[in-house]
Amino acid sequence: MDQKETVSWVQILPEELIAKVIEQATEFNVASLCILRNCNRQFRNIIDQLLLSKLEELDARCFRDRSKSCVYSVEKVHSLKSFLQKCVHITKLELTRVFYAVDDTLLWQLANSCSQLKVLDLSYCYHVTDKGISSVLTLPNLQVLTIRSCPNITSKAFQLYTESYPQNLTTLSIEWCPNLSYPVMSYLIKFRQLECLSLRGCESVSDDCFRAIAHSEAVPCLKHLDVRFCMIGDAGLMIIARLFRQLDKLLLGSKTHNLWPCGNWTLSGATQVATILPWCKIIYS
Amino acid sequence: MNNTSKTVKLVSSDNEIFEIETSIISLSETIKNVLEDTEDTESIPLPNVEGRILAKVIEYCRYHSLLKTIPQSEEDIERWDREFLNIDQPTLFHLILAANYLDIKSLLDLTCKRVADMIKGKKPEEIRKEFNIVNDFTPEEEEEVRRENAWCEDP
Repeated sequence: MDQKETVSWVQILPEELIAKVIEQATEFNVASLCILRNCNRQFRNIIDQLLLSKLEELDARCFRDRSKSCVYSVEKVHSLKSFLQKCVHITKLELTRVFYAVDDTLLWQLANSCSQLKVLDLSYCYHVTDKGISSVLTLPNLQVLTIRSCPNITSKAFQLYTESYPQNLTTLSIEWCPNLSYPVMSYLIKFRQLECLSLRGCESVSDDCFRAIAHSEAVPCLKHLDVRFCMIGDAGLMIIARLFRQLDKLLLGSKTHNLWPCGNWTLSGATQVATILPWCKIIYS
Repeated sequence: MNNTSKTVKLVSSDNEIFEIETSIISLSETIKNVLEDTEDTESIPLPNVEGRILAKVIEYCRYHSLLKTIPQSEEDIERWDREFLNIDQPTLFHLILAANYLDIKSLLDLTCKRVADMIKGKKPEEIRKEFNIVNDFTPEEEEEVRRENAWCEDP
């Protein structure tokens, strides 16, 4: 009996059953999986296989819930890169809570190893620059991209140097990015599949952004546009109404000088939009 | 074909013989397939299952088959399952192997979940101790795993 008790169960069970136990124990929570990787070589190998074969969603928020401070650590950047290399089947990736570890090289690596990625959230990833976003835009299956509070992002991030554009990108949120200059719309109208666009809180987005595309013939069929806390005025609204005939939801922010002079539109301008696009729901906030 | 009153003899690896109604043991897909393929089978050898483990498997099948005719509350079933799994570790792991071999999905899920619950929330060193797992990492590998996991640990 003593002899039996010293036998480890990992020596008895086949690997597929150990994997089943590990899946149940961790409920596929990546942080728990990572902890179990420390047990021994066999656990590490099984978990790496699990990550490779099954991990489709990674919400990095779960790793940071207890953290109060944010320390930029080279070691952590290195380890996240190494981890993501294993997750080739990932389709949804939320990196907000590990923003300090996200940089252009990581995004380049993502673009090269995670070709199935559909949803990517880069909110608060302040190390990311135009180069990183350009890499991400080459992901062939990307459908939803969120870029929020990334101060290093400029319009150039969306300038396409080839004829190919993000074929499947339908939802793009570029929010609270202060350095998004006026050519941004000239670049974004080349994203033909775009249906939802948010430029909320981008203080440099003004009527000029829309004037630059006023005479464009081909524009995406935008259905949802958010220009709250932008320097948008009546002139910009008129261009929006004329160009984006499929628009069914337009979000406008009230005039305020608290942040920067935004919401420069008037009630009469908004009424004119409603006349041109009677099917469009205008939401004021 | 009505199997309700039929019986079959199961022969364990240590030659223990268990006579059991086919309707009860048909919870095992493996045995069900054998019975379907060879209608006149009187005994089925199970060289991968010891007698004491087979007795537990039959106990499980008997109770869960009975539920079809005499339903029990979820709580009662959970209580029974919990008491059923109040066993030592070697028995638990051999039961997992038997459930896998006999293809009894509900028993496999139940036993794996029992082990999973024993792992949940424990640190690697606690898991190693609990299950006699040998840490076979070299110091370099241990350092590498630690580095790889660094990104998801608190600063």
